[in-house]
Amino acid sequence: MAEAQSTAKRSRFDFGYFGYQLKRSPLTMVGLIMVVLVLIVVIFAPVFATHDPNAIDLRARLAPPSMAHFFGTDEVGRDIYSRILFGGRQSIAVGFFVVFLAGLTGTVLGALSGLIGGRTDTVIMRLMDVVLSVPSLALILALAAALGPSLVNAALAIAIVRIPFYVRLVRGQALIVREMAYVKAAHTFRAGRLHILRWHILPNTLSPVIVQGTLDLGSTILLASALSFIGLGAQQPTAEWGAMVATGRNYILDQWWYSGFPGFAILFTATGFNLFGDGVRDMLDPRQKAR
Amino acid sequence: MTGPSQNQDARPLLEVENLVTRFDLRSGLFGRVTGRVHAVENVSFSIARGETLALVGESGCGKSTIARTVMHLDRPVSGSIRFEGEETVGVSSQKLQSFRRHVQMVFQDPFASLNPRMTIARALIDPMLVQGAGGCRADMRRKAAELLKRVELNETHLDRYPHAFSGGQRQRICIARALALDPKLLIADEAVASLDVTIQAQVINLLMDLQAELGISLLFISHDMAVVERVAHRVAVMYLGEIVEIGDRRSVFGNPQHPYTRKLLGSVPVADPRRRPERRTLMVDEIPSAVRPPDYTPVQRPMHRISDTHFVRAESHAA
Repeated sequence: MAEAQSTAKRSRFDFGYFGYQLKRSPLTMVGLIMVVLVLIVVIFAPVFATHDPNAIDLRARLAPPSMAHFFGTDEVGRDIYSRILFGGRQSIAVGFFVVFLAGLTGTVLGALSGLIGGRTDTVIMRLMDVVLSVPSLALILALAAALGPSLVNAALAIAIVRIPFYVRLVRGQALIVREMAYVKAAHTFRAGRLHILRWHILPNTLSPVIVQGTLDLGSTILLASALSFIGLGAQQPTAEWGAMVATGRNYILDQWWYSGFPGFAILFTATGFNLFGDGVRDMLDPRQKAR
Repeated sequence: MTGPSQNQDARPLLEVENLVTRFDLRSGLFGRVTGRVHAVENVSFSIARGETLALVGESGCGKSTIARTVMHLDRPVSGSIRFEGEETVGVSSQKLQSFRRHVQMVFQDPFASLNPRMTIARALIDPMLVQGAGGCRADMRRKAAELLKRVELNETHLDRYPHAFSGGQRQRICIARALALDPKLLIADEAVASLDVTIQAQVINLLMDLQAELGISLLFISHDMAVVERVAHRVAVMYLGEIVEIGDRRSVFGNPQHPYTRKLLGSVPVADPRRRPERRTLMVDEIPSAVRPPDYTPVQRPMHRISDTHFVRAESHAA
């Protein structure tokens, strides 16, 4: 009861309420800590790194973890620990890029679709249905292969496949908000469509988009790594987690650390973002908690 | 209660004549018209400057459609809506723009009427921004503060969000927002229906004070006869899209002619058992549907004159 009260009284972004919710949900807290940890380590990679990620040292090829090389070295003697730190920049940048691009495009298309309706709505939604009707991994593979193997193209391919989810989300929300009395009131003083979109529809559809975005970050990082793993993402010699796991596969029986540590980095980051995303969803939508 | 002040102009502010609004019902693969909702059928009324006309009737009788049509949110099939003597049906949207400024509306649900993500100041400034009628930001904010004071709310509330206010306060904010463009006619569509009785009284008194101060006209839509008796100068009773009785408050309440008006009045609870009428014909049956087949031609029934200010529709169907 008290919770419902505080939800109702919450305005824009109440940090006190956010902190209170965090305390009640230890898993979200864990997720947040993991995410913050990864972000700090990756942003300040040059500070934490012990070696140049691309420096070759043929005397120390495939060295096991030691004080000199925390996570060991690869087949040309590059320091895996440093490569993971720098490689994280690629993976996480892809995650944010994809979520930003898909979220923005999807929000604009969805809001237009819901607000204008009619033929515009039909065209946009059928287009989205087409994208959704193809298995997403197959579509990503096809797009990434067609655009050419590079991390940016892989990110674009993932973004295109994620757009329909945001469109549906925002359209549904826009249809609800459109019928609210405050939008009708805006009509009575002759507000234009753009004004209504900017000031009434968008602010009221943003929280589900944020939740969806947070949840998407983890899976996007995972997908980008997978694409790099099969060679459609980051190209050598760029350090990238998926690509590192892929090359390390050849040595997996004797040099477990080569694939193992990048793999763990992927697992850690994706888990962190997923835990945090779930928590954020529960916070912004207390009705779903019962599930 | 102040009487209608016919100071400057003898012409009514708003004249609605033979207004018809229908909605097509479409169904099937090709969207054929399979029926029409005759929401407003041949309605005529006028509102003088500074006057309150109450529109009463059950839900679904077309009260809100009249409001929406007068606001040009719904398109009428035929009829005329003249504002200050100028026709507004079928004119260019630029001409409508200035007319719209002069007519503003307050809605029923105060909880849905304010955007939860806008501060009160922003909500009050919104109409000025849209109409480009406020000057600079600081001017608009000053105006917003004035508006709040006008509806008896403290200007310290300006930077709060709607969730911090009660229903009655929100409704006052909505009234303030409607006043932002200095309208000449305010349409209150069931504006007090969802409020507690005590809050209702406050809001009604506020509306009446505003009317006395600013000389605005009110189209007050309600189903509550007790409320109407308090605010209205004149009353129009609606039934199934038609006005069945229209007249000054005293005549309609004291000498109701149409059986439907009597039924409506009979439904008002009377506290004192000794003053309760012996036999009350209470309304038990549901209001008939206004949906008609596409080829239906409405029956024209003339209005009878009871007095100079009191008219009643001839009866043909049992109301």
